Amino acid sequence: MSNMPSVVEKSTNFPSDIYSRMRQRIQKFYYLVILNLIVGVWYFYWRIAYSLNVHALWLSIPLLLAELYIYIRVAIFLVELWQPNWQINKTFGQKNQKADTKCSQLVDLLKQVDNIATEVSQAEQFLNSFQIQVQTEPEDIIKVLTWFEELRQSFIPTRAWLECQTVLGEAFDNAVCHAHKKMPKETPIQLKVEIFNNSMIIKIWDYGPGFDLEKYRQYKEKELVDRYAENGRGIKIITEVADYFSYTRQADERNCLLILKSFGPNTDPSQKDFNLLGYLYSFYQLILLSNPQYDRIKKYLDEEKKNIEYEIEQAKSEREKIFYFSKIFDRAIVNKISYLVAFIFFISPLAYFYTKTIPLKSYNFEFAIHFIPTILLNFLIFLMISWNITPNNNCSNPLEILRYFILGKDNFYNLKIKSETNCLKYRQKNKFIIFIYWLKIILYGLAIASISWGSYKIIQDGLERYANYSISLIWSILNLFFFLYF
Amino acid sequence: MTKISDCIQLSGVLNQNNTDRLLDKVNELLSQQIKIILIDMQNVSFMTSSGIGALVAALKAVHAVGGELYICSLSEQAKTIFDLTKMGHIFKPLENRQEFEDKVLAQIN
Repeated sequence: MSNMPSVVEKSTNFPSDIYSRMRQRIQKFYYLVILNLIVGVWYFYWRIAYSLNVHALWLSIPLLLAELYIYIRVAIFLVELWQPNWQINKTFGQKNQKADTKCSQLVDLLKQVDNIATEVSQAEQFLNSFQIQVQTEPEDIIKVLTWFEELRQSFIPTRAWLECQTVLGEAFDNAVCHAHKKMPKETPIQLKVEIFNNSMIIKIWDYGPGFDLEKYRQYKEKELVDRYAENGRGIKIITEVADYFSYTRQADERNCLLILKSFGPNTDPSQKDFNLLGYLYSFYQLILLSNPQYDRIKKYLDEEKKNIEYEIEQAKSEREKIFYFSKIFDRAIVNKISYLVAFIFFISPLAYFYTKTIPLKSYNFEFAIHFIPTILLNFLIFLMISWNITPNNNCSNPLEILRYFILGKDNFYNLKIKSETNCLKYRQKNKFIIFIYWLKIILYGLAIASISWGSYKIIQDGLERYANYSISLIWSILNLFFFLYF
Repeated sequence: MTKISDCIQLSGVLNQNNTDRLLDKVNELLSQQIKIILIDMQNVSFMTSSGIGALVAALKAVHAVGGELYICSLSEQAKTIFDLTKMGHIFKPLENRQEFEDKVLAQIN
């Protein structure tokens, strides 16, 4: 018990890891439960072999069966806590958490992509966008430069403008000399310039065979720059000037060289929104250059989402394997028999006051030796389990409290909600719930009746059979107490 | 007296299209034993990296015969591309023809 504080600390660090939580909590009363099971076996050995009242089997056998029922139910539950498969699946909690995180990330990304697409379509109407189409003709660079000069805006800094002009020339040269190297002069080269308040996007489309820019970049990075080289400076210049550039093969067999150049912050606050749109658009260009790419990203995200959903489903079904047998047991027996068991417990003390018959041979010293440790141990466990649990936690029986204790709040409610919806389906089909309601009233009446009758008998007869009277009376009081508690 | 220096006057756009012409001109001068060459870029409205490449080739050709190559009167755009390619250190461009005459030719004479 000396390490309890650290256990508690750990459990707050990993609140969603069901297995580590279970293990930590079980550690707290592991030995107590083992002892309880052993003492239970010892108790039942005595009950069956020595304690049965053979003259009143109609009472002693049902009570024994009821006690055995409770013992078996608790034993199944406790043994299931140590079943080997939760040892194997102890990493499941972490896996589940990871899957949750990844899923939410992907969903966020997808949302972002969707948002950007809408923002972009809104932004496009505000764009200063200009286009020209020329031929694969080196002289056409004059056409391009003249066209570009007309687009010049006073707010663009001279240096940035010159850099953009230079880059445009490089891009055009590149299309003519490399992309369209062996192609007819008539092959068109399209140019598009979009001007924002603090950035500019230049796009050039060619019909060349394509070119792996990324590979070239990696290859060039390793190479030392030869200052006396006679060519190969084009991409270096673009790299120097552009904040971002890419060369992408489009679905329509064109290649798009995209260059993004920003001029630094704009100080005019009234332009802020417009700049934001510009940036959004730029961002959109970076990830969604062409439709097939956008579709690819979306497809990838959808696939990932499906995988993760599947993983989560798997994880959930793993989680539900806990208490598998308990649930089967509950479904098969508890709903039908538990109230009968309660009925037996409630009727037994009453039966004594009516017939002077007790279910055991006698309430003697031997009974005390066997019964008191068993009940005390159970009571101790129950107390430990329910220590921090208030009636608000919706625990309707000791087993639920046990589950709550072991699983922790969130997991407990997950399991409970699921089983309750199942229950509701079942209850709506027949009139079981009304039956339970009346049964509860009957049990309540039985407890009250046996207490009052017991008190009356003690007053009337005196304490001639002290043990039988008082134990039966205490028993009915406890019955009432449990009835009220749950 | 044989001419020791000469000037090449370029004009228009200096790109892939006319680099060969520039190199031909330089080689022609070198073959005439003219080893100090000035390339005047006053009328060059625009140049690309191909133009830079051609200038580098010219520079190497001139250095190979022990000559010197100067350039002058760079446009703003040309200055920009020289800057971007860090060619300023290699060429040390002059402001204009006057500077060439004052600094380079005066020393020789």
